[in-house]
Amino acid sequence: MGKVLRVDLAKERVTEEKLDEATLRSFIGGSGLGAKIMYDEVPGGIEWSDPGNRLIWATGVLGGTRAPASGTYAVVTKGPLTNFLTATHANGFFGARLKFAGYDAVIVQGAAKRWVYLYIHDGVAELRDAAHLLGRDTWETEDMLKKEIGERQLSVSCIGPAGENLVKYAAICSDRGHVASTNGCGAVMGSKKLKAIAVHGKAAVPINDKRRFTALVKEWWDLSYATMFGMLIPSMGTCGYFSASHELGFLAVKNFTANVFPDHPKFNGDNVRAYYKGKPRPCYACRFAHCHEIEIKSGPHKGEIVEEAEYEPVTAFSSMIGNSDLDAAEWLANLNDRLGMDAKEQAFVIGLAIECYEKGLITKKDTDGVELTWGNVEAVETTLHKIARRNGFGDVLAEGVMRAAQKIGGDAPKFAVYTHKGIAPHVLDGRGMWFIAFSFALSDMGSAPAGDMGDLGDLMPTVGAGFMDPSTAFSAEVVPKNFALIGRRGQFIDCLGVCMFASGVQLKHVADTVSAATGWDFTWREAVDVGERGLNLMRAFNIRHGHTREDNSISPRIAEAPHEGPAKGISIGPKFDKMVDDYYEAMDWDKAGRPLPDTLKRLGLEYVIKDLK
Amino acid sequence: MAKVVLKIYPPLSYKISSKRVGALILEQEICQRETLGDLLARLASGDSEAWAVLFDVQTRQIKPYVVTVFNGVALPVREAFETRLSDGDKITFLPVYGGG
Repeated sequence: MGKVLRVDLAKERVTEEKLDEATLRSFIGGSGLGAKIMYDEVPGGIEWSDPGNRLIWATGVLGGTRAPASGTYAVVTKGPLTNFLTATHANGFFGARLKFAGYDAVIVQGAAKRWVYLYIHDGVAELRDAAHLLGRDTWETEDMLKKEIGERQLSVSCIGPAGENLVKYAAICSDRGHVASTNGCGAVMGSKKLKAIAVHGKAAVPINDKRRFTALVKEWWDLSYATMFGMLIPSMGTCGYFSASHELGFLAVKNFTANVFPDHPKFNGDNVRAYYKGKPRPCYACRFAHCHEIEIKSGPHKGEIVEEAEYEPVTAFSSMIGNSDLDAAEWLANLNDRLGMDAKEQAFVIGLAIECYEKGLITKKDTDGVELTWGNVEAVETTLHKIARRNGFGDVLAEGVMRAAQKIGGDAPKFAVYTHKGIAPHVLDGRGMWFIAFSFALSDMGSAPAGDMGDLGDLMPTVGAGFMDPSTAFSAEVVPKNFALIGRRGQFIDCLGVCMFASGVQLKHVADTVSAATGWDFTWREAVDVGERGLNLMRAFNIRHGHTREDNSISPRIAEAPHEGPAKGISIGPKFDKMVDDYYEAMDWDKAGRPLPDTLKRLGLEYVIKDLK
Repeated sequence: MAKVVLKIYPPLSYKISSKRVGALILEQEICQRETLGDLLARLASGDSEAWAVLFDVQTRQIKPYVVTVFNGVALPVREAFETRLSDGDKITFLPVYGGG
């Protein structure tokens, strides 16, 4: 445990390092460990595309064990949309196989002179030529490397054409359909000329107390089925709350120009499962098995086998673009993954482009003849290809929603949905659930920690039902305080190397499982500290890279009141500044959003204090 | 007789009904001064295991992962059970979280 692979692409040199136990216990792994490495190695002034930027793959102390859904890994880097830190996660098998190969993390630095891929297996790592993989999409790349290496139990984490062409919201994809998506981590990989990492191994992950660990994991699963995730996801997938989000007014519809989408039942999980009757394709050590393989049943792509898309990609290519065809939405979501782009940013990029076209800000002359109207799925498909290759109008959109709006000009910046850091939120209409809008705007990692969507576990008695309680959907008083608490929990979960969907159990249970795995006497209070430590280090990293309070703001469209639905006439805009004050206070930060010296001392981050002066 | 309509989205409805696609709609007669908790307890008396997905009989509380929308307004989890019912009320039960 605690071995890290360092890859210097400029020198094409691979070395091993050992993490000391104190660092591992303080940061656990995943996005926490990634933030620590980023803080230590990437000083202010290093831009996202500089060779000095680091690109880190990190699993956690539970990764590759039999803990629930423990194939998850984090990707941590400085991303191009915000030019601040990003920490983003993908499930599947890659994280577990990285552990089986002997490593907790891979740190990539420098930039290669030629396109390469990294092959890791059983404690050995080598860089190989990747010229033959160029232009291949993420699924093709995976298939080609499996054939080339001749190993079926191989995981590939790679970029598609979008990453190669430095699309600012290019993603990193692994295990067919599992995507580390946020803030252009795929563009960072492209800037380093690293096409893929392929990994497999046979080493078992050591467990300190096997009997106790096994009992805790069994109980963890039993408890998981009584959480909101366990109740919903195994039977209906994440689309199981599509209709619920519509009823409650936070389904994202037509770039936030509407809040009513009458065809919502078609996209709800019950109908999706009945329509496709797909085949489960579970991640490593996952009993929920909500991931499914399905076959497109109608239209030009009939017969294609794709991954059943999650809630946000389905929303991106249905209600957000005015499309009522389920097969088309599933196909577009799949295509977006294969080209290697973030479905969140894509939703708001395409939504903006269509709204601008419909309102006459742009015409066919601007879009290279493509008729970008609501519901025109062929036009969207063409545009996805153009973006991934930065072809024509695609080059404008490849810059992400905020910059594309600025380039289009006119009223476009008023239509664009983004947080002021320059990145789109998750594909949810946060105007109907302020926790959503607020947590995305305040996050220091690109989107938001797992906790924004998670069960509150031990924190539940303290903060009520939090995000889950729509009766506080518009509470400017409750939301900031809840986010401060929930964020700490979520950040800890993001360090473990397990899937957030299987982690809705009480934090004490998770902490006990960490103890059994490691031999530490790890408590749930220590877990909350790990989360808070990570959040503060991310904030400190961003401040060193120019972050100010101004970056914790929302675009004019998010500040508007919806015209219809449950949130009709209600706007977060006038209350937002006070909410930011309250959040900073709850985090023990000053009014500029800078961690106070006492906060940093309490968390063992004394060395950060001098950097923030 | 006064009546209310319950709309229960899947998978909350799966143990109550064999219907697999679409929300379960139940029209129910109510007694005078009956609360939502009273009505649910009455419905659950026939099959308490099936209804346990929605609420806890012992604590008389809606489960924390269930959102109760009463005539278009989301109710706080802790107050839902004590809500007084009237003729024509519409109560929707939803599973909810965000993301994915």
